[in-house]
Amino acid sequence: MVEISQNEARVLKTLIDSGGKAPIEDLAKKSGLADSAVARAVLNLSQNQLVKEKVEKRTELSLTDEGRTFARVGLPERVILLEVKNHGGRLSLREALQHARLSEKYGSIATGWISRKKWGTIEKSEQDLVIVARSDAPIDDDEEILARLKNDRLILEELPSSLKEAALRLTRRNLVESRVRNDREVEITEAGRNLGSSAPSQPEVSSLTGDLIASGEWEKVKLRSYNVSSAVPRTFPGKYHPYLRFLRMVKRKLVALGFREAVDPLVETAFINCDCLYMPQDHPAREIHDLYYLKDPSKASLEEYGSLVDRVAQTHENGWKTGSTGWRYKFSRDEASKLILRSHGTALSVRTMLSKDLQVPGKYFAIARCFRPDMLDKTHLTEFNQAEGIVLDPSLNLRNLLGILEMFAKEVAGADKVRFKPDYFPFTEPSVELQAYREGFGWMEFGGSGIFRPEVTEPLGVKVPVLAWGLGIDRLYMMSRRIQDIRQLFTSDLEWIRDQTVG
Amino acid sequence: MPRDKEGLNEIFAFVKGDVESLEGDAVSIEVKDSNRPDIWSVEGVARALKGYLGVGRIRPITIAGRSNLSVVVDKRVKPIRPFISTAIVKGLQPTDEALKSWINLQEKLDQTYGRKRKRASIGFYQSDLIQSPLSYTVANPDIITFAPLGSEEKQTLREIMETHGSPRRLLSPNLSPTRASLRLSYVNTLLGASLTLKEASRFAERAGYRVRRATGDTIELDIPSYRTDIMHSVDIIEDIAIAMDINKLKPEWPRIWTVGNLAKETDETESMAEIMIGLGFQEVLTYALTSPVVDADNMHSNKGLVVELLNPRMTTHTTLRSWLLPSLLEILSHNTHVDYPQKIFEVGKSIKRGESQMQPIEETRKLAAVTIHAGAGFTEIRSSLDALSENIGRTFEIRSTEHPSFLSGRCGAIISDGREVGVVGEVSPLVIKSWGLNLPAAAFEMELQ
Repeated sequence: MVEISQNEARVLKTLIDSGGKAPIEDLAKKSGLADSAVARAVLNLSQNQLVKEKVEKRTELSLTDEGRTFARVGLPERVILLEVKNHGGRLSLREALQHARLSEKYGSIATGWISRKKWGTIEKSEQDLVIVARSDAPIDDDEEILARLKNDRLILEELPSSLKEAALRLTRRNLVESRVRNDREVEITEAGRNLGSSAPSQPEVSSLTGDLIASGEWEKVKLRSYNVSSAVPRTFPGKYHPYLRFLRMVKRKLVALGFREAVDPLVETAFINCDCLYMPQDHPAREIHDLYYLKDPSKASLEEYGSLVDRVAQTHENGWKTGSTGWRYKFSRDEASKLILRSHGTALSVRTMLSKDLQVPGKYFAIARCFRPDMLDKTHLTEFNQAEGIVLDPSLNLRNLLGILEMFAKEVAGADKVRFKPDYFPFTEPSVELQAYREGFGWMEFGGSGIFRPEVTEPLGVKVPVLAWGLGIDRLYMMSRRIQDIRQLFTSDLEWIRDQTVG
Repeated sequence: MPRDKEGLNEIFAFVKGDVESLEGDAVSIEVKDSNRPDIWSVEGVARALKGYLGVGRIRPITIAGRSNLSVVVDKRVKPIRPFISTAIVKGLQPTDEALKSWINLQEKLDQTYGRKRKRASIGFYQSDLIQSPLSYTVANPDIITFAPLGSEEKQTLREIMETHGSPRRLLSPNLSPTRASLRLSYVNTLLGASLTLKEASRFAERAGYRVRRATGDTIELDIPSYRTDIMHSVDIIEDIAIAMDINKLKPEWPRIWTVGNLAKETDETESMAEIMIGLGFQEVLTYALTSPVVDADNMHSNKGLVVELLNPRMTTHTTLRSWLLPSLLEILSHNTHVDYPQKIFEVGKSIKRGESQMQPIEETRKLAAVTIHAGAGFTEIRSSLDALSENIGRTFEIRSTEHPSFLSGRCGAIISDGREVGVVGEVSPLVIKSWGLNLPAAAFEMELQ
């Protein structure tokens, strides 16, 4: 059952009283509602198919100035005829005009219409015309129109055909003028008629107030029903940034797999970022197009690392006690002390291994903001995120590394199957690339990993195998959201952010 | 030999290669190993694959004996570039294609190992045109002249260097293999495998090593001279793993028990985010790299202790941000066409120069929030800040202060335990205009614990 408002009920009642249809302005007049209230009610009623709106062409009639005069004093033919009758039924035109105080120009008009309307006959004398009145000359249609127009406007289309002709006649005589307008007319439907005749005429309330609830009055009043399917203003909730939401999901999964999160600085020394990872100091990856160096301040003291610096230096130079040949060059402490922006998450793993809180067995991870001097484009960011981690235990081997990668691929990337490919990093040996297959996406490179070289772990004082892994989470997120342009990750487009679902 | 990309990729996996393009008979591969120059040429890849695929023996390279050529080394080269070595290769009739490939390889070595010829460089010469003794000496770059290859005019050394790059000197590797001994138990422990001595030896041979002896737990082998990347047993063990195909190893999740948890910083960020989101603020993500225009100029504030990059790549990324609010206003400036009110926040790091030599950099985790709409003002932002502080259990005191980015008289310092930890207020119309915004905005920024 359709619920309608009190205003709507009133409009329906007015329509029923007006014979089922009415122009919209009539409804306002007859119902006593404001124009806007009627318009709103009609809109809702027509959405519920209780009324139909029609647009009709209307010819509105009104009096001209001359017509207004004649409406007051009578048409010239009538005035003249009355004078003739008052003077015994026969009178010359000149005398009739004089008595009627009409100017001469109306002479021919009056005589013309008297004869055409058969109110009398016109006889010609030598000097004048003589009017002979007939005994009966009832009020005619022309006069009816004039009389009605004196108080009101008329709609041509609503007049009976005889009056319509009269109106047109008067229009030709310039006594009546017409104006065409398009009228909105409202017509009640069958459903509307049923509802309108049964609707109660209880007072209606739009807002439920505390007072109404407390007094119990709410049960007595009629609460206005809303059109619950119509549009309302949009609001925007606060929510997680879509990419950060994804990173939170990755963190949750890693914690669930027993990993402890590590956080550390964005600005690093080349010592931690490179030297501790056995990257030789003139390694191409340490050149200025691969690593951001700081201008001011440009260096940090390595004092806090104590003898570690010596061990790392010797490992680079001759392998120290690691069983390695080393890179065989002269290590520079000055180069090591340079400040840089972290270029890979592995730097964080170095800090984890250096930490006095390091636990064995242990599993650690970090989502690390990293920096590379790239120009921003569809596939490159100068700042990006890496998920990075290590697993430490005396029992670990390459098969365990593969096991970890397989678990990530399935748990984090939702992969159906995985395969492994030999890879290369200066700090791991063996090194393995993870490729994951997902239905609909095909094979994709998903992460790099390996077992830290003894040249990395031994100087740090770590005496157990350390499995290190990194996941291409930026790419994984882009895949899951079907994002083509990597810059979208840091987008400033608030509209896009607002449009993202939280799923 | 497979002809499709998948099949080829499987084979090139032995040399850590990826098919980049495949057109007809021509395949181009990217070799990932940046430490193995022996596979940086078609010939090198072919030599390595021979072993892995078991299609023919890898012939060891030997030196026939001394040549009758001698090199006279000037003492004065010692501080400049002290080493030189030469070799003559005989009995080869290289095709044009082979020559091109060698020159390519030489160029790659010069660029990488030679560090663009700063550290070392290689040259090829036709041996029958060289007369003994060769002189390895220093020269005055402005006096010595000769006509370089492909030129008829004589030039000084300096001119030649300017037009042809560094002068070319001679370098060649020691071609005798290096002996190494490998413990089978280490191989099996590292790989999680149970290879027999025979199997491990077979895989090592496939990878191009020559096994001299294998007894007990020990495999003695020769590392070919071209394998300059072998520094430790682990390098050989990786080659054995590749030869046996790592996909044949059964993945096994480590059988260790550890307790996972989030960092306390993450927990704190989460608490902040919960309240800010509850207050209707949208979380955003911005870059830590910025520029003085964003960080100071548009904020009408001073540059302060800003950290500058030595080698910026873009004018919009030349410094590290010293505070977060500029990043948020930059976001608002890109969204003037989007429905208001706009309320955004970010938890992130600001980076400044430290006060001391021991701590050259100061990284601070911060929370910044801004609200912008026709009715935005101090009361709204202050009540959001109060709601935050009450719900995270930190008490703040707000003390009137002046800040160039905020309206005078409508700006407060956030004080926690007697220390100033942030600022709250109505953003100065000067700042609003600098960002191309046209509505009132109010903001706060504060340090996290």
